[in-house]
Amino acid sequence: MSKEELDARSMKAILAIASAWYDQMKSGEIPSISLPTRTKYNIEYDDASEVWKYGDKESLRTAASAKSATHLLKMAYVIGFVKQQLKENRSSTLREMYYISEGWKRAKFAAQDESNFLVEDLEIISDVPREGFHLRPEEDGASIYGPIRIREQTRRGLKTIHCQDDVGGAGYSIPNNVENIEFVDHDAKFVIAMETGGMYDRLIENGFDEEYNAVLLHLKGQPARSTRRMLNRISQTWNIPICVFTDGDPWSYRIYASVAYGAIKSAHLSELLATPKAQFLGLQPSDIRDYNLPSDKLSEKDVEALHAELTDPRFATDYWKRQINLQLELGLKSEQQAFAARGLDFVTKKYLPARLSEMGVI
Amino acid sequence: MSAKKKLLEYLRYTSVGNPHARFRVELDDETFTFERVSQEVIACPVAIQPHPHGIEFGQLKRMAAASDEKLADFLINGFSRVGKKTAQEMCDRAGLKATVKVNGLPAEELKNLLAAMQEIAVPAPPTTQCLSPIGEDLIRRGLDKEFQMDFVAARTRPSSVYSGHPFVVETAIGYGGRLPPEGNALILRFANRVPLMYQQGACAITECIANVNWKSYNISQQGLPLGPVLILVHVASTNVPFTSESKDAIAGIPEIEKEIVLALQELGRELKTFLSRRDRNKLAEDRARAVCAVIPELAAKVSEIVEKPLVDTSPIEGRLMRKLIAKKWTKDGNVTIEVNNYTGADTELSVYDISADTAAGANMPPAFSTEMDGQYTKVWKVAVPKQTVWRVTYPGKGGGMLDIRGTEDSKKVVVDLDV
Repeated sequence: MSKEELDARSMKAILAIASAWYDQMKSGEIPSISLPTRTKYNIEYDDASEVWKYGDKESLRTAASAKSATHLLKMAYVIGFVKQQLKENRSSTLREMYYISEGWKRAKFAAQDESNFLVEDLEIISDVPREGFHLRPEEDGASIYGPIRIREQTRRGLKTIHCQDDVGGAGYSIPNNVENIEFVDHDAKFVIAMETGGMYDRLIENGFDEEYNAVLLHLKGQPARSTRRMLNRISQTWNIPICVFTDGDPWSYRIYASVAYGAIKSAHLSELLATPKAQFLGLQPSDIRDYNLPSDKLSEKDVEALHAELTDPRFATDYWKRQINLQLELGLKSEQQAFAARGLDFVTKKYLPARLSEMGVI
Repeated sequence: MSAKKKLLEYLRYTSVGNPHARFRVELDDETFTFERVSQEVIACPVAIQPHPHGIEFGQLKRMAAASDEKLADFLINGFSRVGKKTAQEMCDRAGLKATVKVNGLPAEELKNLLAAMQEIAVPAPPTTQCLSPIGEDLIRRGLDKEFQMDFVAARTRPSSVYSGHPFVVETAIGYGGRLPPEGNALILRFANRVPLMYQQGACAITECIANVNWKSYNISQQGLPLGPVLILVHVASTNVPFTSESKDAIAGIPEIEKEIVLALQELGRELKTFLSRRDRNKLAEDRARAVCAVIPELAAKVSEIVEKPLVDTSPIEGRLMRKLIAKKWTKDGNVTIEVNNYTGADTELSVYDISADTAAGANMPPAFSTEMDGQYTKVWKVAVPKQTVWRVTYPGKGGGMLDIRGTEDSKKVVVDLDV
């Protein structure tokens, strides 16, 4: 979709929301809006697109209490703000919008979280990603390194970049708007997306990308939207395997879940952001046992999180049930960099080749 | 005087326990007056004879020594609820002749007599005239006078008896107002109208209060109830069972404890009703604010976005609330006050507007206006027929406060749109 088309679509969508309220008030009704309930109990697997999306549970917000009315008022101000941005062809970050809201009196945001949440609400109602509202996330995209060639429409013109030859040692920085990237060609067998920068640097330093024609990607913890969109587009465009390599603890499994199945918070965009073909590489609880890795005891919070995952529909597979129950049994967790205990080359010479061939990737 | 604060506290509590009395105190050249709330003289308690079940050996010995009666007559005349038949039973049980003179009885035989008096069943003593309860109405008024609270309820339990001593329990609960909003509840303990100031922790009253489950009355609790709560407990008895000679704390007597807990539970239920009604009102007020303040703003913003004429939200207001709605707002250096009568009745009202504005140049001058410390109180007397709007505009800065009088609180909503 071109930028003009997206702009037109967003303008139409937000005006539709405002018009609906206008008509409600005109006919003497209390303005209201209905939204899907955004909890793990209201996400469903969509067979066609193979991702998790919101179910049909909806909650209705009517302006009949001060709290809900103020919420609607804030939304109206955001819509007004977005309309102005679209008209003037400007953009701002979510944080900037938060500061701009200082002048909105009663409609001003109490915290950044509130404005983020509200923009997500708007995305869901209008079915337009926030890029369409000219709102940029604060988060910077992560880096990618490997034998791929892309073409990016930058503010300084069209640039073609090879993500090994044309970039520095830290790789190519994924821009906020991945829609501006064209995927030219590649020589890659698979992608490894890593949670920590230490592991990303280790694989670059050990030349893992050249040896195995691998694309290395740094997720930077819970991945930003642009990072997830990048993985989604690589998978869609080139159809190469995507492997996710994280720490071996409950929080890291959620990183994998958000890459593969979509995050609960952004389930309305799962089709764009999730990569259903992504596979979990590690660190598996069974690796802690099999490789006898240095480990820490699970904290109470960890155990709680593991139990929560057992009821999360995204983890309702035999593989995950087995791994999570094994971890609860062991009572241990390990970081991916714990492989360094066996020497700096162990992960690239032994663990990854063994695990990747077990997964059938190489 | 170093103990002045405690002393005044004592007097204040005494005034609550004796609301029929007015007293004036001069302390350090300062005069403090505690007014009475009732002009009626309280009924004097009538002395009754001791009850055979509530007597101790020393007292029996003194009474016997001072009497020149025969044993049976001594029992009948000296004790309450003892008749001929009961007296004879006691004599038989003690192994004494009914005709023997009591002042000649040796200690050993008096002991047998005392034991016999405890064993024979005797009806409970009369309780109505020998005690001096404050009364529910006077407790409420006394508390109202000394503590400004949003809610006060009092309960006088039916009188009862423990070990031959008549007693009556009275309790009161106050909530909100000027009570400190946090910390333990304020506890006022009285024994025969005398405030107990010390050893709160050792007192059976405190224990009873802690044993009530306040959470079920929507009051938070950590041992004692917490928050803006006042609890008064008065134990009136012919013999208040103190824990020690200092008379600071009441001992744990099961009969008394049971009465205290029952009275507190009754009042707790009343308090709960008050609190839930108040919360409901709060909810209604919240809704009113939303409709009156936020929805017009939403309408303005939405109309601006869709580039259509400003949508009128008053039908929504009228539909949601069949009330009198007073609004005040400031725009372009002009203050506007508007009263919408969405009720089904014509109403006459006084509109009070207190702010730094004089309202000079108002399109409808106020009925009168007074000044105090730079704040002008302006009053308009208006008649607002049902389903109509009254409006006044004057140049000014707004702020201050707005109120309408002449209608029930539940029928009016006042909103300052500038806030």
